[in-house]
Amino acid sequence: MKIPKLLKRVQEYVDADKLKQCKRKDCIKEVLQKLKKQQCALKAKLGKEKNEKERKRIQKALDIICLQRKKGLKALKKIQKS
Amino acid sequence: MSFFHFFGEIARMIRKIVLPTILFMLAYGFWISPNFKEIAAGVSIFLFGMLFLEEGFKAFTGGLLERLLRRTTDSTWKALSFGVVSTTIMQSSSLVSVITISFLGAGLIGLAAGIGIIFGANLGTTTGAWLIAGLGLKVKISAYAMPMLVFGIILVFQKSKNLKGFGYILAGLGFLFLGIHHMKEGFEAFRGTIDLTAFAVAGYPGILLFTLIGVFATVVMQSSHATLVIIITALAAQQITYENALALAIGANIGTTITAILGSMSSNVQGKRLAGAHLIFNMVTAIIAIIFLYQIADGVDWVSSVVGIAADDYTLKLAVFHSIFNIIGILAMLPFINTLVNFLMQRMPEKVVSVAEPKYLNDSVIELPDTAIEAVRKETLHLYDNAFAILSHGLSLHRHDILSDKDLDDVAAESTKVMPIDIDAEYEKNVKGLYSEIVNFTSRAQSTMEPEQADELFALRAAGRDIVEAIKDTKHMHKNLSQYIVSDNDHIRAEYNRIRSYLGSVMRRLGVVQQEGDDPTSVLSLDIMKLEMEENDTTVNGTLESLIREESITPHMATSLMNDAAYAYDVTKNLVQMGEVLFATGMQSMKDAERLIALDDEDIAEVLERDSNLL
Repeated sequence: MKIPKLLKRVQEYVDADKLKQCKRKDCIKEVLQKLKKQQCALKAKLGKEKNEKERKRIQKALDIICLQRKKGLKALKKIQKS
Repeated sequence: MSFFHFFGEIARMIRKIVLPTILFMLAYGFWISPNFKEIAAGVSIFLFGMLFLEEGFKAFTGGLLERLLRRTTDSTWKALSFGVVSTTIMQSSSLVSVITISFLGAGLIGLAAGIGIIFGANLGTTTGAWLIAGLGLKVKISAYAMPMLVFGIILVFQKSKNLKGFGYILAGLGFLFLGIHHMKEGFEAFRGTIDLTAFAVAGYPGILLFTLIGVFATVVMQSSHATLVIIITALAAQQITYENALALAIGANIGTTITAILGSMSSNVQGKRLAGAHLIFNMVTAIIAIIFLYQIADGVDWVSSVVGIAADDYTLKLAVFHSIFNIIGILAMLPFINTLVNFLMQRMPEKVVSVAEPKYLNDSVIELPDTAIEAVRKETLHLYDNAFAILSHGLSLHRHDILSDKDLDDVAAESTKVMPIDIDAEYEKNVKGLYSEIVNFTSRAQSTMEPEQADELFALRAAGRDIVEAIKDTKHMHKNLSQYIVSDNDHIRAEYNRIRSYLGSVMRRLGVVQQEGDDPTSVLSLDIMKLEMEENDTTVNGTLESLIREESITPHMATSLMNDAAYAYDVTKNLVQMGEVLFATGMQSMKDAERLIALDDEDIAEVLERDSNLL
């Protein structure tokens, strides 16, 4: 590891707020990835589903996930900016 | 337990007499010998260093140590290795024991894993003897102590928790080194005036006598490390014989269990079992070491010659002895670990507690914030479990039907029998006491917590309140529900069955989310329930309007249904809120991320508005 990168790591470690932000950023990324996977799976399921009631239920779940991802991405951008 | 009660009484009595006696003897000793004063000051500084070291490591117990501990529960060898490594790093078997007891008390690890860790800690603590004998006496240790103290204390005053922790560790090590230095100086000066070897006793009477002295010294100082450092420095200054030093080391090993026993006093039966295991292990090891002392000493000579330790280097040979007899203890006891677990479980049976008594809250976990939070979470889950029975029976549904995959509409329509339940009495019996204990524990635990940890505790307390609110709302609903699910009016019966089926489905889905606790997105799936809850409320209002208009139900029935639909909405809201907090597991940063992404009332309103525009 190069010295500036090492120094940055050390700085992040001793700065409690920065460390917290970094951890939070990683966690948001992890949740967003999982939500994206779920979204793709639901989209594929929706394409195959014929039952109207079930289609509505899937669509509702998709709407929720879409909004959650939007919210997560917004929070991630805010952390990255700060 | 009667043994612990008896032991506690004896300990209290001894403490009353011993302290003034020790203080008097020390004062007299300081008056007649300045060298003794220096040795005693060295021991005090050393113990002060141990306190600093423990304080420093406590700063890091908020994550890494707990995560490591959780991973050591699946095999004895892992638990053993964890005990060795953590005690080697922290140089305090007492701290490892106390943390293990609190983890066991909080139900985070099993007894067998706890015993494995304690066995390992016994071996790990022997590295202290190696460090003192190999480094402390060979190098001018005080030269390192001063800068360590200066840097350590500067760091202690820093804001960052990590830096503060490092500061405590560094200053702790500095004080340890300084203490060793003073003890060494004291014993060396002592040599010129008094020859303590004149008091040496040869043979087995000497071994037993010095073993008892070792036990006593360790009980008084609450640190086998401090006893060992006295033994090693005294041995280096030729103030005690090698044979007596070996006996003292055996005694120190027995004495160290006292810390674990004291730590377990405030713990539940699991913690007491672990302290019992610690005592049995150390006693068995000591008996083996005393019986085969001369054979083990021969073994030490052989090992020393193999690794290149000089024949007259008794301090390092003592370290070898300390390690060897603990290894023998582990080898002798490890095959019987399950027998030991069974024995302890038989001798110290779990008290049959009522469902309303706390299972995980005890004073041994209160000192470790993250463990305390986990204990409160588990206890609140216990509270939810008790509440589940009241909620389901309040809806005249069977618990097993809710948790099955049966169609709940059919279940509600078919189960027309009202279940007799006095919700007030059940609440008083199974919920109120437990809830009060949780509130009391959280109030006490938060005083030692960081603001973020205290927030998490408050969130858990609020989850408990949500459970209680859900019970109260169910109670309000119960009277009308009991009347209308057996009504001759098909419409009102169908509406009340719809409420039952809906609330049953909420509880069923909460159960699914609880099972999938490790997946962070499972808690986020509760957002769908928030949306459905609002949609359901709108639907109920619409149905109600048409039922009144068509005169299918009486106005009296309509007002009852209106009120009870509102209660059902509140029950759902409370349960979903509870689930969001209670079923979120893992690191705090992950819980924060989940809460940041979870939809709030405004977001849900946005989805509803979009849906209504589409229609």
